[in-house]
Amino acid sequence: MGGTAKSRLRGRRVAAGLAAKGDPTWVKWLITCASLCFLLLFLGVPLVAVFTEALRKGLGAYLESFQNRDALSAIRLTLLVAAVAVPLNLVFGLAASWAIAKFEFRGKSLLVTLIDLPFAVSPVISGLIFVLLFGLQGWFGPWLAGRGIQIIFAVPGVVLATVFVTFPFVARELIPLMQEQGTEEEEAALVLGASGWQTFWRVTLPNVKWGLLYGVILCNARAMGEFGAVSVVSGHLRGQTNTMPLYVEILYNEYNFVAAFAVASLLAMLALLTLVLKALVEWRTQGESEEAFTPPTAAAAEAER
Amino acid sequence: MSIEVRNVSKSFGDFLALDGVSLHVPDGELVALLGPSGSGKTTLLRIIAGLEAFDLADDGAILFDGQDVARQAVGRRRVGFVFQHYALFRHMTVFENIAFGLRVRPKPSRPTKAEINARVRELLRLIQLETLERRYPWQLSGGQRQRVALARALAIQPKVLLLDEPFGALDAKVRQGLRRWLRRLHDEIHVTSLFVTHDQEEALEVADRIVVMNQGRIEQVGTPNEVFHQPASAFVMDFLGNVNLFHGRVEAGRAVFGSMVIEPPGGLQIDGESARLLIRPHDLEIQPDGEGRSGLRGHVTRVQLAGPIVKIELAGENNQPIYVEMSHERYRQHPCTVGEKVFVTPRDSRLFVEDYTI
Repeated sequence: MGGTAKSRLRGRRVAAGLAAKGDPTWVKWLITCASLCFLLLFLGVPLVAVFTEALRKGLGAYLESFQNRDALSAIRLTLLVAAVAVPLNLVFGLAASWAIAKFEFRGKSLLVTLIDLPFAVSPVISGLIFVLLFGLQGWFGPWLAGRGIQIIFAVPGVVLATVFVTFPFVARELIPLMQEQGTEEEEAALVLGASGWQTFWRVTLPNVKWGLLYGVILCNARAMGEFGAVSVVSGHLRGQTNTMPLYVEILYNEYNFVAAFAVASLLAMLALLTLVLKALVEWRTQGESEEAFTPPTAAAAEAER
Repeated sequence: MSIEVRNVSKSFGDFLALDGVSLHVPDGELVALLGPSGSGKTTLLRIIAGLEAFDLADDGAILFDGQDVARQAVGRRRVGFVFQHYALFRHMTVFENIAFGLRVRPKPSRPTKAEINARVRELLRLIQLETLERRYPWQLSGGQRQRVALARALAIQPKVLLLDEPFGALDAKVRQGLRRWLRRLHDEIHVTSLFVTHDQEEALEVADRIVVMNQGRIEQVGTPNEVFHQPASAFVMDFLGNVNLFHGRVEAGRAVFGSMVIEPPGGLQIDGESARLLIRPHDLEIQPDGEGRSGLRGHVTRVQLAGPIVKIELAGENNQPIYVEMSHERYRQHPCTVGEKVFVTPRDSRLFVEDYTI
């Protein structure tokens, strides 16, 4: 994170250098305008459209979209999925990044590569993997069916697919952070007589808490918004296996635009909230790393003598 | 508490970091582990602390006061360890950093809040940072961080104190002040202490005894005086201060280095062997001419008068550089100028012929 702060600083210096060379102002304006227009066209307009469409028939119709049972069940399922996937990936992410950053072992690079797997494959393929594993024609499907356990086209499948798709977020965030921090503080704690558990809670975890929060926020956003993988395993059973993104699609296909956009607006708000939280956490961590880079004050140097 | 290291080896893959090292540190002494980087001194320190395991082969052992601690976990050895880069807990204040070792004690042996407060305050006084207890590590200068790290290590009332390059990351001025302070502190609290350094001056100034290490082995153990004036090997002599090194051969019982001949009492029995002669710059004397005496011819290439002593560089036979140091007083008696042809004679030197030392 210190790295981003530094590179940003460098960016500013480069910009200043250009200005000093007397680059014409109109070039600066043209570039700025072009990027702003692009953003407006591809991000701003759709976002506005979502809310306009949702509110086209008034606030009453908008709110009514959430009154029906299917909508409520979609919201509940989305929250449930996130409530399972996020804590699971939090624990997994912590364990994996700890192992990778603080220990040397065989197959470490393989583990790092595997963590990226969900990013590398299309979500639809991820969904299909689970159908292949747990579907009625799949490897474990018949065995599970014999015991009355249904995974595909049921809630467990939706949860599994979401966990799979979102597991890199926390680990990816923590690995570089923990690697940068090294193991000296943990060693210091152990020498001072702390147990492994105390070391984790009092030293390791507080040192990565902002990075962890950042990862959790991203993980949560993806867990709630995932479409592809969930779509394959859910079966789109109304009131049972529909998450919000899937429900939006169904409503849209039924020409129920107000309801579709109303539910979509919830997801959009979640996205906006995520962005705000992300910015806050970034601001926080950057502040901390900048503090860390600040050379000792004159007062400190004075006290030295 | 005394420390005893008995025949300890450590390898990292193919690299042998420690090769059967044995060492005894008597109770209450301040001992320096001195050596170039890669000589195994930090590895030895970490093994004593329990941060690193040594190779289990052979009969290696680490004993504190005669008790084997090799199987004891790091936290139970009651070792104070000061890391090279301090390793202060970055999210804790100075106060919390120092209190850490007391707060993590298991319930029965944990001091009360008031006791912890009193102990931390006492240590803050000792390191003269009472006013900074609420600061975070990033708000401190390097020297202050170093002292906090030391206080944190002392808080658990360690039986031995281990310091890894304690002044390595500080600038020269702070470094000097801090090492005198460490010496005084040790005279006050008398805890057996072992510190790693690659700076010979630091070792000579601070330590009661110096352990010189090279390539995973101990070259010599002795007081600063002993290792400086009676180096056990060419390596020790070269590492402790500047030396002029001359290569020569043993001929007819004498060691010959060009026009300089060293005749050890009793003579040398191993003719034809290559010999090395080491002479410290302040043991060389410059004279206008030799008149048949044993010595080296050369001409002056540089005279440096600034500083407490005069440093003179000569080009000897085959243009080998020779360094001479003398007092200003002596230089005034025999001044020399660049380009002048002179004759150099050793007042004192050490001869190393294979394993034979004089």
